[in-house]
Amino acid sequence: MTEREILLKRVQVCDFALNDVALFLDTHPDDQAAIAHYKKYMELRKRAVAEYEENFGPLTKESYDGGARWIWVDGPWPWQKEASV
Amino acid sequence: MEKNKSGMYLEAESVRNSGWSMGEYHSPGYYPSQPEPMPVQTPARELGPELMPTPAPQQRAEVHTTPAPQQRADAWTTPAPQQRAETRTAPVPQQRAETRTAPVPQQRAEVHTMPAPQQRAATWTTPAKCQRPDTQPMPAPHQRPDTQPMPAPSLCAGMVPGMCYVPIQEFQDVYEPEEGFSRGTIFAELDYPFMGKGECRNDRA
Repeated sequence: MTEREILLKRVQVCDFALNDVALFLDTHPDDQAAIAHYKKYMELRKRAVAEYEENFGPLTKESYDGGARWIWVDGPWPWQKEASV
Repeated sequence: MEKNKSGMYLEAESVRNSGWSMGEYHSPGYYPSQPEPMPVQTPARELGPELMPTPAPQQRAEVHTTPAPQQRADAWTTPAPQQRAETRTAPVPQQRAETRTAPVPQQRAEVHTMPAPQQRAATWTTPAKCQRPDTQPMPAPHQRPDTQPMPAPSLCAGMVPGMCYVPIQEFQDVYEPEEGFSRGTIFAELDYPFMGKGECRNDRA
């Protein structure tokens, strides 16, 4: 796997864990163990996303860094071959 | 340009062999919204002498014995079938009336005899699993007064009949995120093997 694939998979794994814990918290809103687990993976996801975007550009449009250029268009478009991992 | 049997134009052979072909297409200026005249000549005997080959209502009433309109006349002011027959002068395809023999509705009612609701309630009994040993069997729903609450069976304490209950899940036995990602869930309690067709990738026993 390329470095881009590895970093992207970390983001995907954290997203998946967060989604699963969120489903549990929907029915157990006061479960402290689940809330702690969610907080932990929220931090891990933030770090994974920051590491990916530092090397390979924004993952979403919301990742705009406030600069003078709209860097979103610098990455491959979804239909381009380079976009598929 | 050559045409096929139904009168539609065919592409030139060079176009058909080019690998990009639309197959049969209509003549230039054809728009799908406009109906094309039928190129095929339907035999006269199938269409009948008139454009409306439907049998007259009188003949239809003889074959399918629908309820008399007099019953409905009190609620609706629809004209009786006999009146309608006078305005329509469609010819009768005798062949169809003779060949079709639809069953009479009365005959159908005799075949399917739904039991009256009272009869069904008399046979309703409380499931044995939830029967209370020290009291009378649970009365049928329609016999129970609205003011009395439904008694809960002792074996299913706290549970209401007709409601589904799912055991509560605890936050335990959580996979590592990479393993949960590959198995489809981070909860080991919810990690069930796939029993359907095709390759099963779950190694858990």
